[in-house]
Amino acid sequence: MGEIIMPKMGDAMTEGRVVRWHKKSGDKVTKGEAVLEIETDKVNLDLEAEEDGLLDNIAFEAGAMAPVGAVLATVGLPHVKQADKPAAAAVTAPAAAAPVPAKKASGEFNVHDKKTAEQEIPSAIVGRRRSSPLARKIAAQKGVDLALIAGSGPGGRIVASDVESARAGSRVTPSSSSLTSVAALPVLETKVVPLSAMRRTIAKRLAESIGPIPHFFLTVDLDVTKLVQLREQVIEITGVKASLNDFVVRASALALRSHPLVNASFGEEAITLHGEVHVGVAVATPEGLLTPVIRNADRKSVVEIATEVRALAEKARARKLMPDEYQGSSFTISNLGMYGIEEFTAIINPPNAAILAIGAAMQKPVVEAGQVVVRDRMKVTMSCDHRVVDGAVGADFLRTFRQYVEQPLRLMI
Amino acid sequence: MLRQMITIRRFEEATEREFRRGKIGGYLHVYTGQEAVATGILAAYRKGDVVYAGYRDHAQTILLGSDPNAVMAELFGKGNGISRGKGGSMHLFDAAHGFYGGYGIVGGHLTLAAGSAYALRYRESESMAVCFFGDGAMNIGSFHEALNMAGLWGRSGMCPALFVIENNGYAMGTAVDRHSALTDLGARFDAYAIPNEKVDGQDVFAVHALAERAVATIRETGRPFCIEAQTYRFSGHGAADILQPYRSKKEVEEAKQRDPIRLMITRLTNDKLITPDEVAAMEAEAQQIAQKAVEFAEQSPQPDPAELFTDIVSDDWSNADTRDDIGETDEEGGDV
Amino acid sequence: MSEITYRDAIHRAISEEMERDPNVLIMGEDIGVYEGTFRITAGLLKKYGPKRVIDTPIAEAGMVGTAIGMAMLGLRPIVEMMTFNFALVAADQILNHAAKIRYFSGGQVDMPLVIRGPQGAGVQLSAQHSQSFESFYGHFPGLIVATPATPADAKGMLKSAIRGKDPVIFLENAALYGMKGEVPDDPDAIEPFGVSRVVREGAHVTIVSYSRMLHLSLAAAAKLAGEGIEAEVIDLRTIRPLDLDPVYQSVKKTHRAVVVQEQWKPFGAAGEIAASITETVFDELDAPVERVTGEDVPMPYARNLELLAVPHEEHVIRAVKRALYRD
Repeated sequence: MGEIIMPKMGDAMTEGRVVRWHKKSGDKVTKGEAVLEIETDKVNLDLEAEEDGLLDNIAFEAGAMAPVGAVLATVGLPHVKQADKPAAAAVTAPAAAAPVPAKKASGEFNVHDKKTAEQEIPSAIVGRRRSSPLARKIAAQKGVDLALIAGSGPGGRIVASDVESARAGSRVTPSSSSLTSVAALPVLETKVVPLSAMRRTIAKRLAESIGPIPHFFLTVDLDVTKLVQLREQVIEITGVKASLNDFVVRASALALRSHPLVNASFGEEAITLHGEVHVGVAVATPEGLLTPVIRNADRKSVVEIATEVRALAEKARARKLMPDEYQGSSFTISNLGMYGIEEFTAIINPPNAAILAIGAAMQKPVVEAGQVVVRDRMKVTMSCDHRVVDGAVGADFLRTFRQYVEQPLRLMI
Repeated sequence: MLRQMITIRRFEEATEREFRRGKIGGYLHVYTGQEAVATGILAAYRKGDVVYAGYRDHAQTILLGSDPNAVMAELFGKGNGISRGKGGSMHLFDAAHGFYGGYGIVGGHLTLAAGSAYALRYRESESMAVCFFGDGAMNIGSFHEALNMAGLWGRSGMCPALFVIENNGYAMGTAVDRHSALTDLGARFDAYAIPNEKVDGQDVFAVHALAERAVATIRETGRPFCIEAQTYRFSGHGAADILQPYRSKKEVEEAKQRDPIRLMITRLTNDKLITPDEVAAMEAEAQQIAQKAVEFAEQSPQPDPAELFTDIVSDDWSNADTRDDIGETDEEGGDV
Repeated sequence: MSEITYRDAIHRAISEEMERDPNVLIMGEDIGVYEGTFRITAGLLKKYGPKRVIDTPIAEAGMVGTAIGMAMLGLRPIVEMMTFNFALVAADQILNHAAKIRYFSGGQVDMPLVIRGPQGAGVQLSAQHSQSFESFYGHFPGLIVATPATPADAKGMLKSAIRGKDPVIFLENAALYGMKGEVPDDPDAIEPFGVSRVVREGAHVTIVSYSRMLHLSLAAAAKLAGEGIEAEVIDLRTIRPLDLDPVYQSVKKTHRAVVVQEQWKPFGAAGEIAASITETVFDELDAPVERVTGEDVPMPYARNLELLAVPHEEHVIRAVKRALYRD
């Protein structure tokens, strides 16, 4: 099934208006046929169908603004219900730069093809990445960022040959990660780095967050032994290398359904309780933090989430993320477990009311029925906007979240 | 011999005191009540003989001439202890004085004594091995294996060994008639063709007389011999054996009527061989030896931490090309 | 040099050392009149007499214990275990006495004692007669544990053991007794302990082994070479002391290691070696250290089951390929 999306026509374009539909839902369209007219700040143009089929799932009526990348309609079998309806994110579109013709309006965001995703990114992006000690040593010497390398070993383990054949493009600044010896460290130079638009936005939004939002923090220590086991089974059965974080995304999405005050936004006049659960997943990129959004994460399986997260993360690193892929979250998850961080607090991603900071899953001795046993434990810290979420509300949410994480079969139902 | 017995008694009393004060760690098994046995037997010791004991071993090494200060320092876990602080009460060791060790595994050392006896004859020496062990050591496999081999080797004159049963009536807390099918312990040596005799272990003269006789035969024939010395332990099995539920206070009090030291003093006094003043002087001297040993041990330094890693194997375990100690005879025994 | 069997190499080492030093004697079950179950001691009784070639009762604790008593007085007894399975009966003498006396006496006596004999899987000897004990003895400080793989090492290392001052557990492998090899004739040619040896060079993977498993490893390496995989094979020679420097050097080159042992996997020598590699050259590893071991079962009698219980060449080859990510 093909999709017709709001194309990005210029660097600064974030949304466009649907002017009129030339076809209506259920109409047959043929490849190359004009389906609708859109309007950007600079230009009006027709979007054409990329394939033959029936037009369906019209998500934006004439006159509506749609974020870049949003699926406007689908072309394909008529009975498939398009559930992916983006939330109306209040984004003011700045003036678009020189218009670029829409090259491709269909198929580009078909990220649900498991096989493609697997081939492109064989190992988990979020969660711990497997790599051999030698691979890590060589990567440190060469200044190669392991996060950008696909592993060829068992379970996607990055081995020495993967690092040695890594593209030059995967190099990060050698001085920052050359760990071989003190003498080998190059002299550092002082640089003034102008703020990129993205860095400027990150700075502004995070400052906005910590400033006006009265944060408070709740930490829980969860037993993820079963989750770790379940994950291995899921990988074995499906072949999809779902990370623990993918399970956490689903667990939080399900928990959010029962706790609408956490899936909410504070406004000057009112608090909005969102009807849909869109979970943002923080992804580190060479340029900075991005939070691609898993839309309606509560309606997606772990495998679907895993596949989608990976595709989005890869796009984020390649700076190919479209605005509707990183905007409109109702809740956010930040995971630093793969860096070995045991516990941390995250800053709320406005207008969310809360964010979860996920630490590394680690084997720890715990006392059970008077016996010391080894369990996989994971610490999770929830940052809450106290204007929306009170302590008890946050604690209630975490209790539900814990049930999903500690009894993970619930995630598969 | 009286002087020796009194010295051992005072020394053991001091070790019990120091154990209670926390200065001596681990296990502590004292010889109180049994003094006549080791004293009478080792009066027949000659330089070149080698002596083995179980873990109730303080008396034997002191009788052989070990420095009481070094023995006490060992019990205190000090670096100048007789085993350099690495053995403790159960593993006193003084090869220079012919004492080849106290051993902590019941019965395990009987085989060593049999082997040493063989080695002495192999070298065509007139020396012999002496092995002390308790009645409790007689039911374990190595006891039987050792004695069978000793009896066997004795047939060709290759096992000059004196086995001494210190039969104090109890294997820890289990009385002889509760641990041995045959309560005539000496008779068990008949099974291994080893001549054996019983003696009143509280009578040092009797013990000594038998020992001299046995030793003369052993040296002459190269055959082993067994002495079963019937004695009694006045203290508990170890310093931790306080309740002693296996025997009554009355039984202990009765046994103390036959205190070997008192019996000896009475006899010497009756025979007018010693005066009360002389006994008092011996007592004072023994008290001083024990007191000095405690002071010495207190003031001695702990072992150097580097000692942890020494004496595990020989220093030249790998330098095989320097090994040219052919036919080295290692003449044993010190000045007693 | 002469080409002789592993059995003859051991026999010559004993005989030459008895010739050289009157303090050397040998004792064991049926080693004299019967001339030994593996005929290692054939002819010795006639040559050196019953004082020096002692037929003992079947009493392992007695044999080892008396030998300890001899060694402390300066004799150099060699105790033959008919098989090392029987030495368990003497475990108290070996572990509580031979291995400890030097230490708890504060170094007052030497313990020039050799306990030698065959161990390992044979042909249908079943559960009580097929075991390997190198990691058992390797666990205890105070012992030296030798595991020679060749006739030359068997002779040279046994001489080291006899001339030394320490208790040596000399673990022969019955399956190697008939193996021939070049052995120096020089009666003073000895092989020191604690020196591992690279017996085959290769750049792709390091195979660590000893005793009979060395030959399995070498055969596997030859086959692997046919597939373009060059394995470096290291013979540890002694399990205690364990000389792992050549292993570390090799792993720095190959970045992969496979350890091969005949005994059971849990708490075995291979686990110890794998852990040491991980501790010491962790950053050099490009793959987990692989272990090839016997199956975790008592040795069965039936030949087909027995063959399933012990490692074969094919196991080594598969482990190498796993380490190379080529399986």
